[in-house]
Amino acid sequence: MGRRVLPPPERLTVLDIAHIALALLMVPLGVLIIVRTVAVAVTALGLLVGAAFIAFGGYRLWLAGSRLRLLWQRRGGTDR
Amino acid sequence: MSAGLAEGATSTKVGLRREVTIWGSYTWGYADVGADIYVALGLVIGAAQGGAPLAFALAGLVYILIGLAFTELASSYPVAGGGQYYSLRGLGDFFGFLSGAALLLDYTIDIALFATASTGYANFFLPYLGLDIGRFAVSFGPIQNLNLLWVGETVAMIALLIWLNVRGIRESSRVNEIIGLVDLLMEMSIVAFGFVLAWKPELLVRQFLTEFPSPERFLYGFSLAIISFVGLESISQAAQETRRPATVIPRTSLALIFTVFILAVGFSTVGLGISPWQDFAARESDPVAFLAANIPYLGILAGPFAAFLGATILFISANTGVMGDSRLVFSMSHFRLVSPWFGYVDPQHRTPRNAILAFGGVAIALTVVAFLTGKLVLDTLANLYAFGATFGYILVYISLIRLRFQDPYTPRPYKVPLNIRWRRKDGAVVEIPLLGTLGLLGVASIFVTVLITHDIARIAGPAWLLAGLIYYAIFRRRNRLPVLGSIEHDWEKEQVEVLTNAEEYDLLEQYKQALIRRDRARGAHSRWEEEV
Repeated sequence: MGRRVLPPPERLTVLDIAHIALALLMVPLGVLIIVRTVAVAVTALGLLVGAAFIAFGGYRLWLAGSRLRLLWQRRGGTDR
Repeated sequence: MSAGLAEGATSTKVGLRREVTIWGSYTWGYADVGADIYVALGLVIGAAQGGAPLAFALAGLVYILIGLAFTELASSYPVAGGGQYYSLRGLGDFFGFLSGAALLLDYTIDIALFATASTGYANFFLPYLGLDIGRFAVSFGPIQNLNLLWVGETVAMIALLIWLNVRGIRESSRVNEIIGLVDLLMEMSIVAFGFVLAWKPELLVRQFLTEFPSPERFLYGFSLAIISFVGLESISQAAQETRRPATVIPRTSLALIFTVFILAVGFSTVGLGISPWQDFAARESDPVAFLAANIPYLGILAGPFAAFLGATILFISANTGVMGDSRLVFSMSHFRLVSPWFGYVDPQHRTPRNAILAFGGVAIALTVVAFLTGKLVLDTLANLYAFGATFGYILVYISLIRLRFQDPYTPRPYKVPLNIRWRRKDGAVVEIPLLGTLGLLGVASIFVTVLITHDIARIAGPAWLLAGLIYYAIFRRRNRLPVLGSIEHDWEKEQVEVLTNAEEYDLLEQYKQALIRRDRARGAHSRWEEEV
């Protein structure tokens, strides 16, 4: 019983667009948090929160990229 | 919130329509979890002071582990009942009831807490009408600062919710989706514009370094922060109404977990970089509106809009509590954990009237009692909310681990990562969850913290469970059912029916094949061979 791979997306949904927008927002916000807090003092709080924003945004962008690639393959007839 | 409980039936054996889509599942969960920050922000900042973002982040890490467990269980067992069903299945009737009792406490507190918070946000507009909420506070005898207007509004709101639910009137899935989306955009905008236009990192850092609370206050804040993440299980509650649950639930659940985590951490970080923590502590009833109102240029509109949206989404969340209570107790009566009286369906409106009236009434009583504590009303309700949630989560985690051993045959479309594979004598491969065990330790640590630091939850929480257990023992004895043992359930047949109803035919095939392999390894004839 292995992990079932999610089927390729059938279309670009509102959920996908919302997640891409959120991810695009999170990466620069993360950078902003780190740069501005480090300019004041190097604290674990600033680094952790900033890194969490960047990691979250990056992960969501990677996920969105994978889904868009699958969608493109599906529409191009190269879906495997 | 979509399909009704009693879809065209008056008996207790009723089906639920599968009409919740990916976006519907996500917004259903978001309308529930996304509302939490409207309540938690002020309470947690008031308790954890300069360390609030850290408290949110630590509680959030534990919540991510809880969320992963719910994702696995809800996609593997897509039935209504959520945590109560998993405990019943993994640990038997007694613990199934105990878990159900904890969740009932949570849903009932959900009604009281979110109705109180919703009217709190609505009161943001009182100054525009020339009214001051403080003028309605009265003190007599040992009761101090009882706000008559606020308690009156809240009781009226709960009464309205009871009436709406008994009559079977509820907002459509579409309304839920629109409000969920608008709220998501609003919360993201507050965080983004707050960081860009108003955030002062020196204020955040100064508060973190010089106004970090005592360890006891920090732990109190940390354990309160868990309430900003409660509600993810509404996705599993809706699992029986979700189309293609094995595919949809992991996607929506994981997306929701990370969205809520990042917003909770984001709100507290941006908040403490805009205003001192004392300002938030003073605005416990509407902290998000206060934060939005402090964003330059946009605040004049963002403040009232956030207050309006907060009042709306918290109202929906309170309604989720009424629906959650009725669904859960309906499921419990189906498994004979509580009296069939709770599962009675009103023939005219096709709603579980008795369950709604009973738990709606309890919610009103809890609200009035909480208001008697004066200014600690939200704190009192949040205490109990944290107790019920963490206790229920512990049982869910134990069930997750137990079911990995007891039922390795059910296909799991999503698994909590980091597992050790072990092949048993019957050929079944059991995956021992390492991260799951870590999650159990995490949620147990929050539960212990709740017991240590929450004066009210330490007494009222166990009292609720004890009262429930006494009721359970009497009910089971009267009906000649085992109190500590379990009624015999044919879980395999039930799982086949669940997967068939969900139209998850490939998973159904995998499940039957696994059962056949197990039976062959035992040298027995498999009842599933004829069906494959």
